[in-house]
Amino acid sequence: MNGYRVLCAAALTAAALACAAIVPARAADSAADPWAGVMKRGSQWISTRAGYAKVSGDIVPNGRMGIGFGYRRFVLDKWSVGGFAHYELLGRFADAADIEVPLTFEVVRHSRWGSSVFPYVGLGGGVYYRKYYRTGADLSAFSPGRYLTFGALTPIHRRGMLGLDIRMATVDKPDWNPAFDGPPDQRPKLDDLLIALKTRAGQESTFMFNNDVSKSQTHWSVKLDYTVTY
Amino acid sequence: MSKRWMMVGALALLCAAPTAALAGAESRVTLRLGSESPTGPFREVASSGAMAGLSAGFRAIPWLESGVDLGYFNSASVRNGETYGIIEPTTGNPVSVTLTEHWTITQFGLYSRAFIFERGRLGPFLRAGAATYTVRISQDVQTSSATTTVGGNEQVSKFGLSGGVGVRYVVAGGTSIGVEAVYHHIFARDTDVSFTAIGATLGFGSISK
Repeated sequence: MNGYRVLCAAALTAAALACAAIVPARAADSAADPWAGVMKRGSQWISTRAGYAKVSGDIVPNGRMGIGFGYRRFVLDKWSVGGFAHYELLGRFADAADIEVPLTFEVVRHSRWGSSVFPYVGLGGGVYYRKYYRTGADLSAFSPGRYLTFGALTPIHRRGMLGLDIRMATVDKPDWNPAFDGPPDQRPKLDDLLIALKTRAGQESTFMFNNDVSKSQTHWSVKLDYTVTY
Repeated sequence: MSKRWMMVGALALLCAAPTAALAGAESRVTLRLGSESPTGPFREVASSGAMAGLSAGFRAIPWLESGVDLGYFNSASVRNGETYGIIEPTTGNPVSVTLTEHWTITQFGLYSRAFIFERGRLGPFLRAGAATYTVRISQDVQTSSATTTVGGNEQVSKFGLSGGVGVRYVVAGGTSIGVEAVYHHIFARDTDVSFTAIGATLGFGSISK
């Protein structure tokens, strides 16, 4: 176990203890529930997030950390639309870093369990800025991505909620890099096939051989979420 | 050219001045099934195919429905079922292969439907949307004269826009049927991908007053 993992474990433990030590919000009074209107049409939520981020795959670095910021507005009761910006260090091999900045839009269905749990699930998509840094063959590119988001929040003080947000995104996998694995660069790509297959000569000469490597990858993030409602 | 702009202007005016006495805050889930026809350069590499879709939206403004849209489009490649002679790279031997090759496009994005001249049960609409599209080609060998490694897949995700027209007819309660035709344009690197999807729709909705 390296020092970084010990540091991460200590930080997560401290965060969990801090959450546990927070005095729970007073149980909702049926006569004047302060959270009754929090999911009504017109409500607005502002969220900040921090936590874990990772790429799934066979040859990928260990996950690292990410932070995020976003805004939601309820366009119908229990339905919100929102925009989020995240910065995620997906992993490192020595000095080489895999960095991602998702700028996304999402539609989320919220509900309430009991008096103090506000779970949600939604779909989103947007622009994913991807950067390979200090790899010897650095990369920076934008590509579209889609994701499923779900989580739950609980009131911790007036207008403030704390919870966990989990996001599973599907994004195109960058080509092979000296530091990070990926599909081989020297292959006919889809844009090349769109051109080649237009001609008879291209149809007879452009084939894929054993090209079964996945061209997309799943990105996970698990973050603590602090939300202010108003 | 001027006639075309007059038509565009007339349609814009219709959108800007729709009927007012419509139900508010209607939520609706719509299923779509139909066919897809490649257009432009994409028609040279793909043939017509099938389409399926699902959208969920609401009408916060009486004449405008907005929401999330998922779509799936499948068509055979121009090489599907054709036989080619190749040199197998692992052995260097000539091999005759008959290919199975398909294009699939998945779409995830937002859409809006502007209902114009909605009267009673009948609701014509104009539709527009923006989405992320994943274009994928998959290749496999149907038959071959010798062992071969031909096969695989390629895909790329891009942004695209869509626009179209349609009509829906309320059958009973919140249930409706209809048809719609939508043109999709995907901004790829060198050759844009475009196609038209025409299909029947089945909608389920509810109105919260």
